Amino acid sequence: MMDKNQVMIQFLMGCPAIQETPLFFNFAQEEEDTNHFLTISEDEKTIKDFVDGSRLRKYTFQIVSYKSVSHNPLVEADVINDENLEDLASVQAIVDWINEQNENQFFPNFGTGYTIESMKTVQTDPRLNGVDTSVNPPLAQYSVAVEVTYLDKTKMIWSTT
Amino acid sequence: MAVEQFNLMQGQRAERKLLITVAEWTEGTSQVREILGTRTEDSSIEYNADIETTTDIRGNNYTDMNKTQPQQDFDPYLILGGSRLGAFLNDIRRRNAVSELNQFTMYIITAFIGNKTDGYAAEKHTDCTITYNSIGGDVRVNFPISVYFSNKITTGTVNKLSDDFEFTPDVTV
Repeated sequence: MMDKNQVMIQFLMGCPAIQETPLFFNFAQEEEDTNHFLTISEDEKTIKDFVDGSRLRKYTFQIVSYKSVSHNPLVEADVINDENLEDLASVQAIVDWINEQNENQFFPNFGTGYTIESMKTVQTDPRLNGVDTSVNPPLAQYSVAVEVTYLDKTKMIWSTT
Repeated sequence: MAVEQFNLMQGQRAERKLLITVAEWTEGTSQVREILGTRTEDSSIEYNADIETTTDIRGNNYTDMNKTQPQQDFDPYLILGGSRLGAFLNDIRRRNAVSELNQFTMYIITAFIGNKTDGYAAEKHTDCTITYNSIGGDVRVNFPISVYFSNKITTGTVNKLSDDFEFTPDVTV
């Protein structure tokens, strides 16, 4: 199997919202307008075993985005042009892009013997984990969990000609 | 003929994938084979034994198994790209040509007996029937099937665990 983290990172680089901002791997340092690809514990699990020896497995990772937070209250804005909303929309664009690839069945390639069945974000909106007000400007941390479900045929003993 | 022992370590449990059911049929002039069980989590050969027990006046039981009618269900059996058996059965379903369902040769391969060099133990059942039971489901199209084995059995070995295996009947001395 190819390194699935590497494959996923390469795949995510095709997302315009990620192209616009730096992407880091397992390096969650608070910095404005950055994205961080984080592996999580128990990221792999088998969902089902089939009688032919193939297995349905799930691989999960997280994308964390840091965005600066504006203090301007919405009620005082002349128009709805709030920086915080715009920042959220830019993270939402990552969510939408991933789910769009899933709709179009356009998946990364995990290598021979592996077939990806779905790639979905766990939530439909980015999750706001919190706002760090100890830094200037304050930073909001958003996260997006992604689940990739794939069929692992590498343990099958039967080969098809 | 000596009973062949399992190719397992002492106490080792056989993995389910070592019990293989393969269907064989003819399409046009070519013979096609397909392993059954793709995306099926649980499937067993049910022998549906006809059992008759009598008790004598001393209270002893005498049990006879008159016959078996082996059957194996595959549910789910999903409509999958590349599945030739699924396409073949669906073609029969569309034409309601149910008489074409009893033309299958089935192989039950017990890969926990034998090895790569000498081959794996297998049973060949000719004139078997595969029926489709329904079509539909929720998210994916399910087309569950049942295999009815004929009990016209030839025991033997297959030389490899792949669609293009060769079946060699046992030699009776």
